[in-house]
Amino acid sequence: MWNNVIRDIAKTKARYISIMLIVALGVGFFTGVKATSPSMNETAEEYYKNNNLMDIRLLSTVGFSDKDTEEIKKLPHVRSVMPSYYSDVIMGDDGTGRVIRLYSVPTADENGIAINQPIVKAGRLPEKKGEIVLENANFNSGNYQIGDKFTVESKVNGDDTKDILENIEFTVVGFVQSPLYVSFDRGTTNIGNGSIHMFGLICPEEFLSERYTQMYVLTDYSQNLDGTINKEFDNLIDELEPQFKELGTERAKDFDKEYLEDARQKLNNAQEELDSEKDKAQKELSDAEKKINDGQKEYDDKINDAEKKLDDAQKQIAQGEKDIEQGWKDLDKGIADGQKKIDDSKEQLKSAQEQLNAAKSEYQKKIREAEKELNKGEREYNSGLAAYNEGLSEFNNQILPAKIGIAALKTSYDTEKNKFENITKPACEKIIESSQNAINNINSQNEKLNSKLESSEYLLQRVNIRGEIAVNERLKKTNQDIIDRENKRIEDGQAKVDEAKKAYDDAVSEFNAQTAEPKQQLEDAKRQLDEAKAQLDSGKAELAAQKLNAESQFTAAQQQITQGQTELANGQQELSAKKAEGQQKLRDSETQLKKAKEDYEKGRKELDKQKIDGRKKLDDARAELEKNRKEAENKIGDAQAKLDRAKEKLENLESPEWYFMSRIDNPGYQSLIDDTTRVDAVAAVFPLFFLLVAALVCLTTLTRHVEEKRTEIGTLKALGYSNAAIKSQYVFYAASAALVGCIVGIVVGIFTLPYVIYNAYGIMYELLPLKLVVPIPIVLIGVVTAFVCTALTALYACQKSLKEKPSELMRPKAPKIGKRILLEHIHFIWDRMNFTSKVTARNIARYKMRFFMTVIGVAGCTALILTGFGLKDSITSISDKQFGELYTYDMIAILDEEGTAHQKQSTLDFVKDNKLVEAAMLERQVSIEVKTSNGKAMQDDIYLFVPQSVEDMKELIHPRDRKSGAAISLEKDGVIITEKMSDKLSIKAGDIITLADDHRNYSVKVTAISENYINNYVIIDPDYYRETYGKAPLFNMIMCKMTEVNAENESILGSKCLDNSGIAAVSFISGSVSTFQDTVRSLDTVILVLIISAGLLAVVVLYNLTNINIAERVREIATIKVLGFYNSETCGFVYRENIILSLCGIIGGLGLGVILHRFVILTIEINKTMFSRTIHWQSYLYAALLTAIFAAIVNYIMYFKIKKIDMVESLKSIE
Amino acid sequence: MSSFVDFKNVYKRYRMGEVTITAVDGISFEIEQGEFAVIVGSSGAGKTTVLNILGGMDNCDEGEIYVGGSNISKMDDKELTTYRRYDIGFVFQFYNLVPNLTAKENVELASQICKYHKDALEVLNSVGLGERLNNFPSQLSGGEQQRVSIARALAKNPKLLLCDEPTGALDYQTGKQILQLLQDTCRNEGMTVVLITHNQAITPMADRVIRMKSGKVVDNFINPDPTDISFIEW
Repeated sequence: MWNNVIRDIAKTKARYISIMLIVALGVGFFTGVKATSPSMNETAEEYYKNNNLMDIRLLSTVGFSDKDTEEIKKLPHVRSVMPSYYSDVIMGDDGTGRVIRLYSVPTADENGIAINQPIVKAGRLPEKKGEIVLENANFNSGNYQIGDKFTVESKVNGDDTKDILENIEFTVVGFVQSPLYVSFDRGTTNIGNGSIHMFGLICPEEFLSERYTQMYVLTDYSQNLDGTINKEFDNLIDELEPQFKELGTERAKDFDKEYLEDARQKLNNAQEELDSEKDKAQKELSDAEKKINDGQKEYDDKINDAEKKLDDAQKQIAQGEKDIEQGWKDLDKGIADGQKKIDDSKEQLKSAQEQLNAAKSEYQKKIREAEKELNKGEREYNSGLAAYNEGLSEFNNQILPAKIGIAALKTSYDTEKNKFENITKPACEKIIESSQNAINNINSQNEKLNSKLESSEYLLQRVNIRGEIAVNERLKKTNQDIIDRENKRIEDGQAKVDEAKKAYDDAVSEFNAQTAEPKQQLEDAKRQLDEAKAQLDSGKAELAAQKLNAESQFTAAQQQITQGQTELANGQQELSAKKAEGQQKLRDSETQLKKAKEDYEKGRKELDKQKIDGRKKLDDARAELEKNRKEAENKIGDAQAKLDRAKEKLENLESPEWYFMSRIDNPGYQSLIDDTTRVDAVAAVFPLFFLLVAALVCLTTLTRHVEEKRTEIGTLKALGYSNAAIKSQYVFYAASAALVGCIVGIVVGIFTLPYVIYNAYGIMYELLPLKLVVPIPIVLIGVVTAFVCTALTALYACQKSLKEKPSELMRPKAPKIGKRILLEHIHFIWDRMNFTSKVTARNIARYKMRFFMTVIGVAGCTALILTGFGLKDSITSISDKQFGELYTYDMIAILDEEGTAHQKQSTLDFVKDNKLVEAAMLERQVSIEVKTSNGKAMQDDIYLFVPQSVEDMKELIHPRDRKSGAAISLEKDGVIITEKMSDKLSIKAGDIITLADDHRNYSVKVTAISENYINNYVIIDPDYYRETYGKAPLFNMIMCKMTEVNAENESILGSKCLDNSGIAAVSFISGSVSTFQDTVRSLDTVILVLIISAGLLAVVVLYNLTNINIAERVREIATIKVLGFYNSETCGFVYRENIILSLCGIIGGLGLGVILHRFVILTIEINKTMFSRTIHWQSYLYAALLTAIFAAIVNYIMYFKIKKIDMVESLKSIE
Repeated sequence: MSSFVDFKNVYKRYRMGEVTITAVDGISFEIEQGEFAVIVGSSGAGKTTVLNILGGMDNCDEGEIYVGGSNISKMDDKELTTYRRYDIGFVFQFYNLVPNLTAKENVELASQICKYHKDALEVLNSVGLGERLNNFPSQLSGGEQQRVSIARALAKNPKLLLCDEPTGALDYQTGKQILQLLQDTCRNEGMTVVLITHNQAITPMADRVIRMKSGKVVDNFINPDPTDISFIEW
């Protein structure tokens, strides 16, 4: 039977081991992480107890006496009191001004209790003066060796170190670790650069102070209570405060009486004397000053006058210069214009001349041609004329004889004619004429007779008258005959003449007829010639006329041109003249101006000289006065300073006060507690999750295991084994795996995880080696859970199988039958899926349990990794956000509370004057309690913040809304509170809250809620403060932003500030930031642990489930292999599901991770801090990728398993 | 030209701890293309081993096996897979259907990986299951399941159809129907079918009978006159 179990285990090694592993993982992680916090706590507790860490530290403004010690001892609950000394001095070795706090070596009281007993890490404690032990942890003390010299500077804040310590040079005799300092935070001081660098211990005798500087008190609580790192202890200690305060007040009265009365009187007298002296000096000085001021006034007036005049002159000169400049410009422009016109005209003339010349040459050419023509005509004419003359003379020669004949005829004719006309004719005509006369007489008598006849009526008479008329008619007839004869003779003569004439005429006409033709020809020629001549002449005349005309035109044109040129020349001349004139004028002006300038310069120089002289005289006078005044002031000031110091000392002594401090005020004490708490919170979440997943995996695996064994169960049952026996076999299988897993897990978990985490914190803390506390209840929870998940599951699965009949059991359980899945009814999607997708979808639906297991496992893995990265994001970014974005100041200077507002202002100015300082502002910051109307209250780490001016605040702090990132401004009628507080107290904008400050309550309205990560603040407008509090804010700090932040600048600025008597202490943000970075570094380890465990979780879960999956489907896989699926296809067939499930897991895990992250953040937050809620996108990516990688690893391993499946064996197995 | 299937002096040994069992002891036989061959023998005669080797599911230790001219005894795993994929159709005694796939999907599972596959619906129709396409195996009777199994093998359009006791889990009548189906397939489609059985009664229906005993071929003869299955009774 048991052999069977053993063989079973051997056969299913992988399964058995994976159950073991998952149990080990779950239980180990659970117990290991859970053990860390108690172990850390216990380590600290033991450390504090063994070394008697003080419960209370008392300080006093005047120190303590032995009497005080006695009185304190009498108080209830006080177990031990140790008066001691401490003093902050400056390390004298390196000039960096770093501060060492020297304590007196703890001394044991009568019971042998030495409070704050240091642990000597090397060497020994100092035994005599001149010896010192240094702290062990500080990296800088690494430079010192035992036997080295250690020196401190001889001056501390202007005082001689020798006034405080007997020696300033020590021999290092050892190194110690003190319970006062658990972290590397050494606290602050009011000397040097404001922060304490290290501590050291020397003999009490070294301190010269006659009174103790502090008291350490040990109460019976720390001895009697189980633990001190808890609220109960803190509260008990706090309850003791009033009794110490009371004692302090009582003791102060004694002190006053003993020491102060006399001194006060003396001081008053001295002050009076000084004041009268001061007044006298003041008066003398005022007189002198008045005189100087009068002189100054006169001097100023005069100088002003002169300067005014000079300025006028200067103005005029400037105007003149401007005018001249303008004149030059105008002149140049005029000249240029004129010149341009002239040039244009010149150009025109030139072109006219050219045209004229062209016309002339054209004309002459034409004339020449015409003359040529004319000459030709004349020549022709002359030759024609010569020919004609020749012809004519020839003709004349030819007609000469004819002419002579004619002339002869003519002569005869002329003679005949002459004879006839001159002789014959006149003679005849005479006779005719006488006969005619006689006729005419007769005619006239006849007429008279005719008229008488006609008139006479008497016939006789008529016949007589007729007889007479007839006689007259015969006489008339005779006369008429004579006339006719004579006429005849004329006619004959005439005929003869005519005949001659006719002969002549005939000759002539014959001649003419004969000569007519040649004569005609000649005449024609003559006529032609005459015509040619006429033409020629007219041509000549015309030409001449034309010539005359053209020439006259040319002449006219030339004349015009010439005239134009003349005019131009005139114009040019005129222009030059004008130019010269203009230039001359301008030059004259310039000369004048220059002179004026020179005069002005001279005047100015003169004035300057006078000015300097005057001023020098005045300055001399003033310097004299100043010297006198300073002398007087110095004298008075010195006297006053002495008096003041005396007074101040007296005042400090006058109202001595005791300060009560508890362990929480020790640097680093609280942060260790916070960190421990944080580990515990993480421990609360993660391991449980692990345990849960482990349980689920065990459940599936074991159920499967039992199902696989059903045949065997059936056989055993058939063979008659009892149910219990059969059950025990499987329970044993499960329980043994769980047992081994638990043991391995618990041992590994408890002995590694606390150390790993503790070491991570060891970067920040200096404690003793971890004292491991095994948290028995936790271990029990782990073990019980493991057994429940394994043994009970096995039992349950068995039970289920055993209910069946052996015969049924003998048959293999049929593989899960195929079923239609919901998706198939959604045809829209189903029809679109390819074949393998359908198969996958149906497979996923078939094994729902495994589906959930896988998804949960993978999701868990992703969620854990995301939470790990997210935690780092959240915590890392708060210091960046707080000190990089929200608060941009670099230094806080704590002011001397006693200073007046004026003194504080001048301290601010002093700080602002430093060139390392970019901006600075006075502010008030005090711790307050906040209450809400619904009764909630919060008092830890809340500060009221009152800026001096809202305007200055904008440089230093930047309130904003976290979600939108929008800046928030400080209103005049309300306060801004920080987010953490608003969450804790559920305060919304618009609510009224009550500030409990100095035992009084003030109601204020909340106007906005600001993003903030460290501490809680109520920011209030100074005016609103005044209104609410009814008084002006008493500033107690200076916030200051530096130009460039580095260690050197901080050191310089720190010591500068502390030199100012108005500043009590300084602290730098960089210190807080680096502390933070240490925390973050320790987180890396935590995240690594998370990733490794998450990876293990994912691998184990996926391996297990894939394994089961393959086992259940081995026939199916063999079948498809037989069908000829390649290995990769076969794996794809199986893996597709894994991949889809992993993806689902990753997506679900990211969501789960966000929730888990939020949960963890909220859990580990303390009142003081708020962690950023944001996870960077990279973290999501890492978480998803890492999970995918883990899944891929499992799939890779499984590839070989699938490849190894033997078709023949697998298909055969059914028989 | 050699035969379609040619076993030449093939050995297969199994090592079980210290004992070596020779399952196939130097057998040689030939099967011609298109033949309906029956390998008959009692349990443990090595006939399943022969079938597994022939189907590329197992390797032989010695000897040479030619199928369609390729030497499958020299193939590595990958080549064997390819061989199974394209050349072989298997019909098992217990059908080996994928339980969460319907009849049609089971056929498609095989056909989708083959290049020259037949249409799943057609094949299912041809085996007489046209009505039960969308039933899951669990909703089918044994005979129907075996038909799906045959359809799955045929859909791949293999060169060789190997059947391992196809009627072993079926009743008499159903078994006969299945054998009829196989014989028809061989006759109508010219498919080479190799069937192993322990049932001597079936041998008359075969073209070739190979009788095995203790890993050796004891008889190998061609049946000149194969009987139709419907006339065989046992």
